[in-house]
Amino acid sequence: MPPPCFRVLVGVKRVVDYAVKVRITPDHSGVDTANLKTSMNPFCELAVEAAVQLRERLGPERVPEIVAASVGPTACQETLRTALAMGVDRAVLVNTDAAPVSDSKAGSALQPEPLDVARTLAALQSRLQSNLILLGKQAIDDDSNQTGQLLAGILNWSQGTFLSKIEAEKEQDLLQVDREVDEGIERLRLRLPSVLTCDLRLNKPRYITLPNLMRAKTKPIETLSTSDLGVALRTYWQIVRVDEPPARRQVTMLKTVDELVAKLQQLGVLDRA
Amino acid sequence: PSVLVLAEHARGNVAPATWAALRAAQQVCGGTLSSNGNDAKQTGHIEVLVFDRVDSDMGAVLKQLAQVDGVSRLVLVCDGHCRYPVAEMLAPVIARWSAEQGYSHVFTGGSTFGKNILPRAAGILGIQPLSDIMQVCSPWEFVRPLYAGSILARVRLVPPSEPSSKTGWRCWATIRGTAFEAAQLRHDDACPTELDITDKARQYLQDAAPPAVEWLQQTGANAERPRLESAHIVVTGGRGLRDAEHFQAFVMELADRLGAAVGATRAAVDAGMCANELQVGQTGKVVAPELYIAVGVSGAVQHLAGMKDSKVIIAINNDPEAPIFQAADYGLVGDLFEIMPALLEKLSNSHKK
Repeated sequence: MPPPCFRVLVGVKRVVDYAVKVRITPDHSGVDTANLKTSMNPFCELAVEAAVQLRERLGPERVPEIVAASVGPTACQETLRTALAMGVDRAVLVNTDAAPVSDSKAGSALQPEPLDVARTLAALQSRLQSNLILLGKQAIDDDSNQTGQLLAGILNWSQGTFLSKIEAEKEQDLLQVDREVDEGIERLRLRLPSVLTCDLRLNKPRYITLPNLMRAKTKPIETLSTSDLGVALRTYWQIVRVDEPPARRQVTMLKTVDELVAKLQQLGVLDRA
Repeated sequence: PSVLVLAEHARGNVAPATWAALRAAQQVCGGTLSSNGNDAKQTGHIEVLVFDRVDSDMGAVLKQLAQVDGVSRLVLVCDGHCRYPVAEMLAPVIARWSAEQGYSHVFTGGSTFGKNILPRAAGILGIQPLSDIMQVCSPWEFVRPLYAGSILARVRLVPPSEPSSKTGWRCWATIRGTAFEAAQLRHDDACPTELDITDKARQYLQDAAPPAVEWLQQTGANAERPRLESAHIVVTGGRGLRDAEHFQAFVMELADRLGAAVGATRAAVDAGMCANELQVGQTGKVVAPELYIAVGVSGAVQHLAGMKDSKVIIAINNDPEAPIFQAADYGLVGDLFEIMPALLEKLSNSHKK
C-alpha cells in the first residue's frame, strides 16, 4: 500500500499590516481600516510556509496538492497571490462582498466572524477532500485565536494548536507535533485528518522572489461565494462601541542607579527578596 | 443566568485564569453573591466542571473551588481518558454536558488550556465564542481587546433569530486573567456546595470514539521561579540584552534577587535568549503584576499589549526615544551593560547590611 497522501488546505487572512496603527471612527462605531496598508496575517504566512516545507520534505507524491483559501472581499486576491508566490499550487477566494446575510449582518461591512469562517472552510474541505488544514494560531486584527479549534470541532478532526514543530511519521497517517503551551512544550501524536494552527517559532516564512511572484500570476484563483458553499453569514456579536484604552502614564525619569535602587526600596520590593 | 466554568488546575492548585473566570461568572450572576439562598441579589448560579488530571491533587482542587461564592455545584469527571488536557477528549464532554444542562454561559480562563479547548466545544455546538473578555458590562455585553489591545470593543450577544429557538442565548467566552480579581469566597458555610462526581459526564467520555490523538509528553515547566501569570514582580528582557549570556546574567539574576518571574519580548525569544514560554505580549502571555521591570525593551505595541496593565512599570533602556518610556512610570536611560552590573552590585550590598 502506498504511504498516505497529505491533501493540504491552507487558510489565509488579509489584515491591516502589523506596523500600521489603526484608529477608531469618530462616532466610536468601529475601526477605520479604509485605505490602510494590508498584508497576509503573519501567522498565516507561517501556515503557508509549513505547507510548502512539508512538500519539500516529503515530496510531491505524498503532498500532491496545496490549496490556499481566503474568506473575505475581492481584495483578498492579493493575499492569495502572496500564498501562490510562496509555493501554493492554486487558490480559492470565497468572496463575501455579495454574501447573502441571514439577519442583522445586512448593510454592515463587518468581516465574517470566526465561526462562519470555520463553517466556510469546512464546506470547502468537503469539496477539495483535504485531509490536513493549516491555519495561523490567531489573526492580529481581532486576536480571537478560534478558527482552527472551531473548525476541528465542526469536522471532529484531531487538532494541534499553537505549533512550534510538525513532523510527519514515515509511511503512516500520523503527525508528531509540539505545542507552545503556557508551561512549556506539549508533544502530541495526531492521526489524520487534522487541523493544525501555527505559532511563531514553527518556521521563518520565505521571502518572495520576483520570478516566483511572476510565476504566481499564472496560477489559478477560483472564486466562489459563501452561498456556493451553503453558508449564510451571521452576526453573533454586535459591536456596541469601540474606544481607545485610557491615556498612557506620565513617566518620571531617574538619573542614576542609586535613584533606581531607592525607588525599588520605596516600592518595598527589596524587603521581600 | 446559569454559568458553567471549566476549571484548569495543576499540582493541586486552581489556575489563576480560572479564578478570574469565576470572578467574571460572579459578575454575570449579579455582582455580590451571597451564600444565603434568600438574598434577593442572587440572580444566577455557577457550576464548575473539573476534569481529573494525572499530575494534580483533586482533593485540594475541589476544596478551593467549594469555597467560591455562588458556586452551587462542582461537577467532577474522573476517567483515565481525561487525565491529560487533550481537547479531542474534553471538548465533546463539555459540549454535551452544557447542552443538556442548558447553561446560559460557559466560561474558562484565557490560557492556552482554555483557548485550545473551549472553541472546539463551541464548534461542536455551532456557537461563536468570545476571546479574552476584559470587562463584564451586563450578562450579554462585554469588553474585549482588538489589534493587540490598542482598541477596546464593547460587544453584545445577538440572540438567535428563530423565535422558537429552544437553545436560547448561549454566551461562551474565555476570560483574560489579568483583567479580573480572583473570585470572592463565601462568607459562611450556610449553603455548602454540592459535589457531583458525575457518572453521566463520564459516560460521555466513554461514548466518544477513540481519540485520534495520543498525548506524548510535556517539557519545560520551570518550578523554581514564580509563574509569569501569578507573579507579583516580573523582570523582562528584550533585544537590548544582545545574547543569552547577558539575559541570564542580568535579567534572570535580577529576577532571582527580587523573587520575580522572568519575562521576555518576542525579539529576545527569536534571538534564542530564552524559552518561548517566557514571552509577554500579543502572541505570548498577558501579565499585570504589581511591578514590571523592562530591561532593554524598546516597547513595540505588540509587547505593550502584554504588560501595560501592570501597576508600576520601570523601564531601563539606552534609547531615550524608545516607546517603552511612554508606557512606564519610571525610566532610566543608559547603557545596560553598565547599569545592570551596578544595580546587581548595589542590591547585593544592600542585602548584606
